[in-house]
Amino acid sequence: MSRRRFMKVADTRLVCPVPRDQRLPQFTGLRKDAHAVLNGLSIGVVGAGSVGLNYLTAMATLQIKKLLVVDPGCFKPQSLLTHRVPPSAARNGGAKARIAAKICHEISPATECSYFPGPVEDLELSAFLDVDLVVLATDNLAAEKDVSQRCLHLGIPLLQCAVHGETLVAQVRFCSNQQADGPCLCCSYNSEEREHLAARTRFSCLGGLGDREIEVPRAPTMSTAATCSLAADLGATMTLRHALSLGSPLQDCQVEFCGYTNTSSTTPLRHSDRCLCDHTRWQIVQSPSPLAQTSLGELLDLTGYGAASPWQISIAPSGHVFVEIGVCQSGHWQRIRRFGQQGRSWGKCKRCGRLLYAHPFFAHESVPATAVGDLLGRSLRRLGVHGTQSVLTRCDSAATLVVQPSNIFVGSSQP
Amino acid sequence: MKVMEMNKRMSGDGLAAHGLGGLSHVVLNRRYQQLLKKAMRCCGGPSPWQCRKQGEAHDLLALAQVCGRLDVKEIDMKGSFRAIVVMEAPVMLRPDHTGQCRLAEYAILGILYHEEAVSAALPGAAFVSVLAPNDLWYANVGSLDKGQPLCLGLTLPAAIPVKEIVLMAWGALTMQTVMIDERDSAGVLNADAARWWQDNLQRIPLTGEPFIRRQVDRRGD
Repeated sequence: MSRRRFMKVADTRLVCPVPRDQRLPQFTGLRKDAHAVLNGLSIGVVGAGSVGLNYLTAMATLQIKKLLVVDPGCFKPQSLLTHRVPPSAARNGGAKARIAAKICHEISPATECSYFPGPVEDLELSAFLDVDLVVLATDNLAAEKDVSQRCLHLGIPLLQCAVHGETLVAQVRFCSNQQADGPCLCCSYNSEEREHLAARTRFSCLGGLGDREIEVPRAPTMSTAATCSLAADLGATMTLRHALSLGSPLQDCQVEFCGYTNTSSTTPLRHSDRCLCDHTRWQIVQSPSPLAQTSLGELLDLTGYGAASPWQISIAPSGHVFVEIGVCQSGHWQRIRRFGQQGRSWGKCKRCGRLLYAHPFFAHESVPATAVGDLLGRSLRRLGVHGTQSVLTRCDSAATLVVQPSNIFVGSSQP
Repeated sequence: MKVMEMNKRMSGDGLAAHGLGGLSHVVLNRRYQQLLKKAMRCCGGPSPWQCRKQGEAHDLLALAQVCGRLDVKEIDMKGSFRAIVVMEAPVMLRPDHTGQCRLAEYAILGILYHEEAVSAALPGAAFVSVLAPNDLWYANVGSLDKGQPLCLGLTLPAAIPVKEIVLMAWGALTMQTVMIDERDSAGVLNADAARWWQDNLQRIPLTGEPFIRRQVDRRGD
């Protein structure tokens, strides 16, 4: 599976026609320069549907620095019942992520809006590295686990906005991710949710682990537009409180409003030892030179693991596997010993000329340093790594993500 | 001597009384002790994963020692848990050009256990590759260019122990457990073999022998 990156909404306007200070209140007890904070605020939003789109437009009106939008889905006519989506977009069925990013950019031309119209699991590991907050607005458990895991590793605060339409409940959960052993969204999973997550994962029988496919829930969000908007606005308000440090610091908590009783409640979130997620905090190191030109040895020096025993260290370039042995259709084995992308062929068999494929038993998603000990002097490009934005290195229980000098590649969008 | 007595207690009926959970009490013979020691010297990853791999390695070696039809050749615990084992079992090969069945007497299995398998259900074809012989004739064994993966089910539960995977592999190779409906996308990796076996149901299973032999295996002592 190759990891993919964000695309930018192409627009040259850089100044908002109406500055935000014409409506932004002087918040009580504000100790920061609100405009400076908002001018530097970057947020990643996963899910641009009934809740996510409302959240995005609320943040766009604050004219923040950057919005990254992720959603694999498309708008449909029914979207008009829960979203504030342009009717033409609902009729034409455009990609949610692209249209949401364009709407945000129209509201705030000064905001850098980028989008990814695919599953969040396909994004580079470093995709959210330079955002201040990630917001989750999807009911897809697999996406929830993936985002929760990424934010935990990178130490990025995570806000989840959700609704329960039948009971008029709007809910927001906030994980500060300040400590690696703090709570994440998966810490509160019960056995039913765990089974649900496992049941939703579909695998290609012959493709190995990289070819898994998460079944996207077919059931639409059954809720009124008002409840969805309420969850989004609660989330936007909590975002503002967190970013501007309004009131007491935001703790790991769940805030819920119930329309049946007109009551709201706040409950703390707690870490669970049975959590599905790996609560390891990654150290982030920026490579001084492009990753493709960096050797494995230089990578280890960058991470500071160079002095550790080789069997304690493993290396995983994002979206690549290391294949020691390939096998052809005739069953001949051949040494390969290089990185590449899963599912592709690895050249031709020297004995019969047929295509070689990675032997699953001899392929590593995370290769031990002992297996590449004699290749440490070679650049990643020479070893078959192309277009990766990050390399994860582990040493025992510690992990370091080495990223490109310029982390997020941004291309231009297709109108 | 003590090792032999312990293994005698833990083999055959002894193991049946204790169940597979009793494997952790088996004292390994000298060869397997050395194999385990060598693998543990290069055991990598976070501490909980290292402990898990060491436990799995011991249980696999103990199972091999008491069952009498398994020989562990290599264990690698640097990253994922990998083991190469020889399993004495009748193994069906692709019929020759005259349509005659061919049986091999053993299979070399590559057992691969990812760290992720501890916390997530993984596909049934992700754990065992048949490294030899080639040309296996089973509905649930993939083609040579895919590394002959042995499918043990749609998904296997999270944290499934390696010893259970070995028993499932025994059941699949001897066809004591079968899946030959070619219309069922779950588990059929060779539709031709599935159809052939539907016409040759009388050959199933390839053996009725239990996995645990009654005699104690004393190889290496």
